[in-house]
Formats: sequence, C-alpha cells, structure tokens
Amino acid sequence: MTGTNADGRPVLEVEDLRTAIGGKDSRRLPVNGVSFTVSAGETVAVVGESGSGKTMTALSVMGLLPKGVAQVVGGRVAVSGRVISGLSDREMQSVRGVDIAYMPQDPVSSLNPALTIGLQVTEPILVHRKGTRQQAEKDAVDLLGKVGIPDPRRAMHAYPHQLSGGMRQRVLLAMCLIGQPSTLIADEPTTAVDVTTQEQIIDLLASIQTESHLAILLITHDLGVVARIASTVLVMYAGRVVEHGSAEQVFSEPMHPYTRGLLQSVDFDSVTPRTRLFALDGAPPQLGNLPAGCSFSSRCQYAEPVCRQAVPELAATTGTGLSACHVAARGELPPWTSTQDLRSGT
Amino acid sequence: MTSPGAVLLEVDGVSKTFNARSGGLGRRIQVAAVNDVDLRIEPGETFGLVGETGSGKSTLGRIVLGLEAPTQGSVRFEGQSIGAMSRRQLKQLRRRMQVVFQDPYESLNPYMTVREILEEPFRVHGLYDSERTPARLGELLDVVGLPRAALRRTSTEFSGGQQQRLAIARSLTLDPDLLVADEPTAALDVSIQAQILNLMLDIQRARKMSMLLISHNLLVVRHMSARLGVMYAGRIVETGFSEDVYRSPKHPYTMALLSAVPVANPRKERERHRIKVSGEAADPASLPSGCPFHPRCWLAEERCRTTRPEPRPVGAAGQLVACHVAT
Repeated sequence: MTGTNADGRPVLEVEDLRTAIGGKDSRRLPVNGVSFTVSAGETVAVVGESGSGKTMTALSVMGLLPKGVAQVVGGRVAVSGRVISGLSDREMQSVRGVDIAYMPQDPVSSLNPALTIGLQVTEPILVHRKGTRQQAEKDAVDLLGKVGIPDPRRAMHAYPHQLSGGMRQRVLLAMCLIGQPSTLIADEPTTAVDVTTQEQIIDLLASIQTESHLAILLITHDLGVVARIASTVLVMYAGRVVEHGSAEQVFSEPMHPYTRGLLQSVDFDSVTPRTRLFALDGAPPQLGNLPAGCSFSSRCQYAEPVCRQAVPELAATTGTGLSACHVAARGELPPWTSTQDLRSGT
Repeated sequence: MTSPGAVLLEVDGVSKTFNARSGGLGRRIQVAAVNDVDLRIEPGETFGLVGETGSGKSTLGRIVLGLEAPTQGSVRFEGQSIGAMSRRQLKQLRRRMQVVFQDPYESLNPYMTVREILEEPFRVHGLYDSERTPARLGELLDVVGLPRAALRRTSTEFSGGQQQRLAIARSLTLDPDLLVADEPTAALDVSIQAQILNLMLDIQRARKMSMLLISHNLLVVRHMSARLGVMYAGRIVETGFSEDVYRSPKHPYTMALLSAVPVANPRKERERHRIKVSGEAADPASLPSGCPFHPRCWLAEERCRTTRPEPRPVGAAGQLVACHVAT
C-alpha cells in the first residue's frame, strides 16, 4: 500500500490559503483558510462535493486560477522549502511541471484534439530537457511505456479521440512526469474512467509514487478511491477543511458530522437492499449565501444554537484527528460505533 | 393495469448494430452495440442493468423505450410487439413508459417554468384538464419533495438534486407502468445520491411501478433492484437475483467488476480480495471472436476464443451465466 513509504519530509506546504471570487474584498471564498502538508511518498486526499473548493485549492496552489475571476487573497504555499505563493506568472512557469505538476480533471478537454499524442508529449520534453527532437521522441516513447500504454510507438501517431478515456488519462500522467516534479496534484483522476480502468490508474499512480517518492495531492469525491490509496484525508465543505486526519481515523472514527453523513450515505453494505439509505438533508450551501456560524449547521443533525452563531475552528477532538465542529470539540459527538446504530435513530 | 403474474416487458433476442465510419471519414464499420439480449420485467419489479461505458446498456434502454428500433429481435409490452405498433399505439404506449436521464440540466428546458414542464405531458396526450391538472401538479411536487411554490420558477433556479427531483416528477405525470432510469444519480453529488435513490424507492413502492434501472454503479443497482443483468460488449453476461449475483458472482467479468469497486474503509479495502483484469473493455466496433471477454479473462480456454457462450444456469436458481468455464 502507498502512504506507508512517506518519509516525513514535507514537500508541499499550504498555510491558511484564502482565495476569493470577485475583488479582493469579496466575501465569496471558495478556499477559506486551508492548511495542510504533503510529504515525499505520501498521498493526501482532498474529499468534498462539487463547489466545496477542492479544485479551487489545487488551482490556487498551482497559480492557475482563472484571471479576473478568482485570486489568492491570503496564505502561503511552499514547495520543497521554496515559497511559491505571490510569484509572478513568469516565475511560476519554472515551478509548474518542474517542482509541482497538475493533472487536470478532464482528459478530453485537456489534450489538443488536432495534434498527435507524440507531438503533445514531445514538445514539453524539448522545453524541459534541452536536446534533439530525436532524443525527445525517444524519451516520449519511454514515458508512454512507463505509464502503461501498450505499443507506445503506435500511440505516438494517434490523436486523442482514438484513445480510450483510460489511455488519455495515462497520457496526461506521462506529461506530468516529464519535468520529474516532486509533487503531483491529481484532480479527479478516476472520475472519467470506468471502474475496472479506475483500478489500473490507481495502481499506476501508486507504483510511480513508490518508484520516485512523489508527493501526491489527490482530489476526489470518491470515498472508495480515498480508502484505497490515501494516508491522510482532508474533508472540505463550503471552502473550509472540516476534518483532517489519517485515512484510518477518518474512516473508522469520523469526527465531523458531515464526514459521517457522507460515509453513511454510500454505506450500502449495512442497509437491507431495497430499503431507504441514510441521506443528508438539503444540499451544500452556495458560497454567496452561507449560513451564519458553521456552514454545515443547516443540514446537521447535531446542530445547537452555538453552531448557528460562531464558525467552529479546526481543532483537536477526543480522537486523533482535527475537526471543525463545536460539538466534537466538547467531546460530545456520539461515539461512532457502526452506521447501523446511528441509522436506527432516524 | 396489468394482471398479476404477467410479464410487463419482454426483450427477446434483441440486437442493435449501428453503421459508422472509423475515424470520421475512414472505412465503413459496423458497431454491434447490443448483441442478442433477452430480459423480462414483471409488474412492480425493478430490474437493474449494470455495465461500463460502451457496454450497450443505454442503447438497450432506448430500444425498450421504442426510441431506437432493434436490428434483430423483438420488444413486447404486455405481450404486444412494439415494432408492430402503429404511431397511435406507440403514442399510447409512451404514456405508460417514461424515462429519467442522467443529466437533468440537459433534459429540462431552461426556458420553461416548472408548471410548463409538468403540464406538457398532459397537453401532449390531450389529457389536460383545467380543473384537475393543476391540483395534480401540486401533488406531484409533494411526492418528489419540492415546494409547491416551485411551479412559478424555471428549472435553472434549482440545484442538481432538485432538478433531478423535477425530472422524476415529470416522468410520473401520466402514471407510467414502467420507468426507465438511465444513470439517474451519476451526475449528482454523493450526499444527494442517497436522497434520490430513497425517493425512487418510495415512489416505486407506493405506485407498484416497474423500473429498468441502468447504471455503471454495481452497488446502486444491487441496492435498488430485485434482479439484475451485467452487460459486457453488448451482451448480458450474467443475470439473476441481485443478492445471488452480488454474493456469489459466476461470470469472470462480474467477479472482476465487483472486485474493482473500492470500499470506503481502508481496513476492509486492504483485506479485500482483488481480481485485476488487464486491458480495456472490448470495442463494439471490432468484437473479439468467441466470448467477448476472453482477451481479458484469466480463465479463458481454447473454446472461449472460438465459440460464443450462451447463457446457461449456473449457481442459484434463476442465475444465468454466458460463460463456458463458470461453475
């Protein structure tokens, strides 16, 4: 399993990151005080639903926020000890792909449909490693082979539409590896592919990580994928980290009501088939229209008056992880024994 | 109403081949999307179809709805062949069969108010009644858990989950006997998925409606359906009672599919037995000879490469498996 080979040296450090949509004084913060570190060889998963801020966190770290729409308004990001927040676009160009690479969500729109795979992989190699085109093409074939593309020589001449979703995802990964980055941000790498292919992609990420001690920040909504490869989990809700802990803890003793709700709503195994599943009421709030206090309070079965007044800080709980919950902070969240027990109360 | 014990929907030996060109302007090719499929759905029953992209599950759903004509085979609704129906009969049939698609953003007209969306089926079928219909719309919104005030708004003012509730309300306007739900939760967030599945369970139970649920998610299909079919390369490779197929899959592809579903629990996840299949799903434009799964199958023998396996009873009662080797 991955995660066990983390050597404790933080490669990516993110501290109190804040990103605003609109002007500097905008109160719409898709990323609102997010902090975490990723060590070499470690996989940290960011879990959350659409609009929770996971992709915006990734884009903020990479300096790839859409211009004129969103901007980083606070916090600090460092890669391998070098602060990269606040760097100019030009300076970031020497960071992206070299220190930290970003594998975007959608392999279809991320590859140029009019250019061959060979050209799209060779060009960045020529930029990153000075050398002849011939050498770059040879490197490209090697790299495509490394990410498990069968017959890489033939794939060089293919156009993106001629490859399956899984193969396109592999091509993107190959492109991310060109600059031999220390950190990879993989944004929903398994969402666009089928379940049997998903497994191959995860195994591939794990084996590349083992080989090169890559620090991986995995962004996903799929709790099963997280359980498979992450050692640390951040749960995001409405722009904030609401729970932060080891994968072991977050899945076996979740300390935030939202995490519990998410886990329960996909727990088909402990529900009799064709009976109602546990479901969280309502929907995630809109950024411009957050409830006062805890953003989750309107959907929370444990909410108290204080939850509708004060924003809870991410703080230690009775468990090993951190949770942003007033009830958990007082140690009054009911013990998480099994989902069955909780469900019987509803 | 259908008489008890009768079969509502029968699909017999249905195949669908599309003509296409390889790579836009390339040579003409034939894409065998659905290949000799049988299935039956009883009144009040949910049948689940599970498969990966390109397995033919959505094409089969469209054939069942009469939106696509099969190249071969027949679909019968209460014993009547859909292919032999006149336009008038087809229109009648459409009242009794409804569909919910994956993406409510695309299946609801953003310029129509909720009232217009829900009234449309009544108008199309000449059933609009200025006294009774408005009351009916309110009831429908109650059933799917949307406020009655929604009638005056457009669908775009609602979240994804609420839009899917609206699409479900629309599908129920004419009291269908069969609902085809094609990936009804695939576009929704995890916390919303359970809400919609619960809603579908409640409705199906209250109305004794039959349902064909199409999904890539084996856990969803198993939870919702009494029986299910696993599709691969246009064929149903395994079918049976959901619990039997889930507890004791017999087709190697079903085993692989089940083993690939990660469990949201790191400890269970590590202990879980996993079968790794190599390669990718068969391309319906160039299907392998014999069993379409044989190039990826760890149990494949010579006959799997040459002879296509027909469904045969293996395992529990009602379990049919299209595999030479399965025991």
